[in-house]
Amino acid sequence: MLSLTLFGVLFAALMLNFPVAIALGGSVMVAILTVPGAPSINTLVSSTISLSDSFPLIAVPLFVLAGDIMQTGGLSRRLVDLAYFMVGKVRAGMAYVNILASMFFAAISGSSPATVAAVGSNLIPQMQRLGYPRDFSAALTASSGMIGVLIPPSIPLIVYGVSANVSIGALFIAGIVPGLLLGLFFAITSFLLVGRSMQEIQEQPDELPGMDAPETVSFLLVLRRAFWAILTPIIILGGIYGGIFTPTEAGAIAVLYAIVVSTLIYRELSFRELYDVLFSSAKVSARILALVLFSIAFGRLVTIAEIPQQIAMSLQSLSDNPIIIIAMLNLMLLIVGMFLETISAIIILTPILLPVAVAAGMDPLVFGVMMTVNLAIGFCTPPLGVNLFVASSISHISVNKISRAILPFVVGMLIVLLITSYFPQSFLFLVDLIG
Amino acid sequence: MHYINKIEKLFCVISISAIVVFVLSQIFMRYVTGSSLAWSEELTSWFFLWMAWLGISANFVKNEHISVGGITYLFKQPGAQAFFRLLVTIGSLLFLGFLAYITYKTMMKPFIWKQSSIVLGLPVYILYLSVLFGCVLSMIRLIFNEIQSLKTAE
Repeated sequence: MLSLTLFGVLFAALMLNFPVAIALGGSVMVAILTVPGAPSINTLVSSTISLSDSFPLIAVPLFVLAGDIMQTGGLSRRLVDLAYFMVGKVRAGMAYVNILASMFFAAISGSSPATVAAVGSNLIPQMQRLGYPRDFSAALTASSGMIGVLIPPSIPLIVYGVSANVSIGALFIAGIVPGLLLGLFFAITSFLLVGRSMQEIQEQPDELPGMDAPETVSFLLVLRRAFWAILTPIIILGGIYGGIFTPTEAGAIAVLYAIVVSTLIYRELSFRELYDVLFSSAKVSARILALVLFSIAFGRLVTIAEIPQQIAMSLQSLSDNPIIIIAMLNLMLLIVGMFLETISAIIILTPILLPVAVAAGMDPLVFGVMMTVNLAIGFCTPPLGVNLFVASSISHISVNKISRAILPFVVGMLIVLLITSYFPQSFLFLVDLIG
Repeated sequence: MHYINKIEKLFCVISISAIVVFVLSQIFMRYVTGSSLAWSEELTSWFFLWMAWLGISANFVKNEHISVGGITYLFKQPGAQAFFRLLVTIGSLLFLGFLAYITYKTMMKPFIWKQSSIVLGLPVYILYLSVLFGCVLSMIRLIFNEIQSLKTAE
């Protein structure tokens, strides 16, 4: 009865376009008020102030802010320039530039749509000028944006770490290999696509507006310009894994560093802009934190209603083979990822599915990475793919067209998903090595 | 309304800046004096909660909260859209209103009203106050926006 009310109200509210946070809180409220024997309303009240004792979550606004400042302060443009000089001059070069720049940006930002926006606004127009089909460029940018949540820092991994009680530092390392693999598969896909159907692409651009022509500027100069940006991930990751500071503190260091670089070194950030960036980061973080707030009460009710046990039992009645159970979990996550925004999905599903995965013999660390890959694929698939929307608004191509052009890239995503689900040693070795 | 937005923006910016400054000072103090600051940790998390609740209401100004929107996409008629929007507004108002009410009731309970925090001795109701502010400011925005859109529809 409790679970029926909880999920009935949640589902109805989501369908009616209620904000997800209110849908979560509302379902808890209705369940508490109507179902006899439900826990007291204090569950809800105490969850509303629960943020005040969760120090790891403070990393969320800090990394959002650091990414925003770097985008506004000109760091992301220099990263694109650097990527261009490294891989821009070969066949399908601009596609590799796109992927590499996304990886660079992923290492300083923890969000996938932010990566799409930063790389796309710099590169989609350039790619179009060189003759790459616009839907291809947009689809590639949307795809490589998902690397943003796998290469650390990563907001979804922080939120998962908090709700599953898994070390955020370990999750960050675990995300690196799947992130690199995605980049590799996207590069292969681009190589094949460009080779087959895009003959008219100029491979040697004479000059690109906004970028210096390769002949006039030396590689060293571009490297020196991007040096401060490239140093960011080294400081963040080195600091966390060198035991110098926690992920939250690393976030604050990243903010300080971003402010210093963009105001004192690059001189592209005014005080007025900083004020606006601070506000928009606070807003973006609050959107995420609103979900976290109410999910705490929601998670408690899910546990009381013994929903994980019921799902585990029904899955086990279908099969007791862990390979099949993991496959079913993946399928479930993929479908949910198509319809639900990532943070909401992590928050709703972790208390429900993590016990099921653990019962199937899965490490919570592996489940976290697997879930993030699944939901990140949801970023790039209709009907609710945030990366598609961002790529569409930058490239002025309809979401429909990008959704079709993205299909070849989805193959690579699914391969990486299989690797993370069934061959976790591929990234766990790094966790053992560093953590 | 314009002034509410501006003041709220200022307090959001102050809160997030305070978080950055306090976390940095913690790292600094740990390496310089060798001991971490308990009070700055407490203040950080209080500012964090305030930032979250003020940010929640700030997101209602332009309706920027994350939502899914299932069946509302199936009905394109302006009338149906307006109906769903009104439904969401009323539902959200009921939820936020009730949440504000029970938070207020909890806050007024003697043992919470007189409770003070462990490190700084600040009154704990400041935490509950953030929820109250967040809910009330959100409700004001919801009502304001609904009136605005009803006006433009006419």
